[in-house]
Amino acid sequence: MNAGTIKRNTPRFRRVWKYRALYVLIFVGVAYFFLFKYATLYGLLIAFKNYKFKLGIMGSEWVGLKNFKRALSNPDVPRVVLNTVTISFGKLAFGFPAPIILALLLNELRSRRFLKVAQSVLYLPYFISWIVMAGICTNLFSSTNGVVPKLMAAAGIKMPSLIADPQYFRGFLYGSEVWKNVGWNTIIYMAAITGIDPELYEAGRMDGCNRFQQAIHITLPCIAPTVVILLILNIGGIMNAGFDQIFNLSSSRTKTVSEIIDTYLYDLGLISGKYEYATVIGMLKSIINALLLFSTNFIAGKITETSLF
Amino acid sequence: MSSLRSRGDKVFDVFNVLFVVLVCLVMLLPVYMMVITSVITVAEYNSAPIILWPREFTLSSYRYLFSTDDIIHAFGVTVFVTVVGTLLSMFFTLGMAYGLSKPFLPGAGFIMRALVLTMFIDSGLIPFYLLVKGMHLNNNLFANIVPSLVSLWNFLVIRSFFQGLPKEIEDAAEVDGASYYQMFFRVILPLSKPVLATFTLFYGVGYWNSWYNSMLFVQKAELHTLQHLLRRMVVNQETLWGMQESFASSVGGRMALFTESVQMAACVVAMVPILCVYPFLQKYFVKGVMIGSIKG
Repeated sequence: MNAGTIKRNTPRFRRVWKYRALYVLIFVGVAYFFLFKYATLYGLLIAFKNYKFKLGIMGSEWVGLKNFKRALSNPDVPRVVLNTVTISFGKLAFGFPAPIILALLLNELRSRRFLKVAQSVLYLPYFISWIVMAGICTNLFSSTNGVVPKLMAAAGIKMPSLIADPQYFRGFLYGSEVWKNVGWNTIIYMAAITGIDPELYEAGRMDGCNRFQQAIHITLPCIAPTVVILLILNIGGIMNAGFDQIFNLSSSRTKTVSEIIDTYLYDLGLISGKYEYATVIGMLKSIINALLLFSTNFIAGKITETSLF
Repeated sequence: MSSLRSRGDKVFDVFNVLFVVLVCLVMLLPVYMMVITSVITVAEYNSAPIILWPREFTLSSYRYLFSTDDIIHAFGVTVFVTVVGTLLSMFFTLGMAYGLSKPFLPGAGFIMRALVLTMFIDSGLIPFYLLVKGMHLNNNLFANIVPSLVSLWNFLVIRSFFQGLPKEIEDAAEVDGASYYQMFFRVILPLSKPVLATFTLFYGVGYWNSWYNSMLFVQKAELHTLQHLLRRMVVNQETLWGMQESFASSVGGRMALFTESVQMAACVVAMVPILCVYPFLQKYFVKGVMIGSIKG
């Protein structure tokens, strides 16, 4: 008998028992998600408590919405929210078009061999952690010993410190983000370009399109759905401006322009030990995040007519 | 074809190749400069703004690094976390993906909806922190593994791969009286080698580069992961000075070392394993993104 065709009227227990091996296989994975995604919701009660570690979450005193009022009247909050959104949009403005342009150019390369070599090089930075990146950036841009400032000085140009000067630091974040991810992000566009029907190009050539016109009138419209979906999904992640990057690249000097919600919560919660406020702000961030994700996924689903999951 | 290429085409081709070469150089030079800085002498480092090929190579930064217990410990910890973590993550992700790829499994639909819903749920840092603390994972290497055991994305991709396998394979095995365990281990997994390679790599690189949970939950310095140690050296600049003093005295106070070189040597040590496997495995990574994007 086929595994899938057990009789409909078999008692539920018997059906469950028949597949016990499958339940054993899924148990740990499902338990992991239950624990880390659903059981942690219990911890949100801290937002409504005067939390004392000794008393535990349940034992601590209820304080209603007091923590919300205090957390939201904190002048740091609007600043870090603004920083988060600004940095996210900045990254989007530079980091989003870059892989599209690069993919279009890679697609025009005539030598397959050169393309493969170039791709190997371009994907590499993706695998470098932000901590190693911090080392590389210091080596290159440190105002005291960095390679680039030293070169500039040799050429008679005094260069400002990109990593330590608040005026340039955001640009530095965008630049390092593009450097690390641009190659990797071409993969999905290259895949979309490979999927384009060659007959379209044939027809384009018949009509006298040159390569630039083909890229603009054939390639770009054909990958437009991919572009739109990725743009929408990126907007869904706007509340996450990149903890790993900023946590490892920023310093006390650049804090005013680079402190985002996530780094702020780390300092507030785990360094200053203000669990209640960190929980409140984290919770509000998650709610906004969920609404954003939900609506962007919904829009993306409407556009492709096939929902993402 | 080439005879049909216009003059403008040729000019464009030349500039396009030049541009891509330039972008590749921009990608490679920082990594190259990192390696060079780790093997030059302090005198040469100070002699010119940029050293493209050193006159004198020295491995003193590496000798110094490996003379400290810190990096040896961190290396051991990271190898342990990467190997054990990847094995556990793969095993549980595959098991979960296999079981939930069966639509007839009672409860599978409910569990899938609950899992997809977790994409929108994030309790935030503090509840997560308290949960892991509550699991007594403090100063435990499993604090690097348990909180990131299964990736939802990897799970969804592997599950859709299993669903795409032809049903007949399992039917045949079932006729032979195979249990689900036997089918999973003897039939399904051997058919999934490219998928296994791809996701082993994703998990492996993730664990190799992990530092966040180590920073949150591991206080004992000798249990820090390599990236965590590196963070202390490069970002906090803390360990280095203490380490340097002890080394300076151990080589009779001769200061051939300089901070930048030791930092870069540590970065190289952290990157080398990835650089070594990278050329062989690149296609699997790319395949992973492809499978994922087709699913998306």
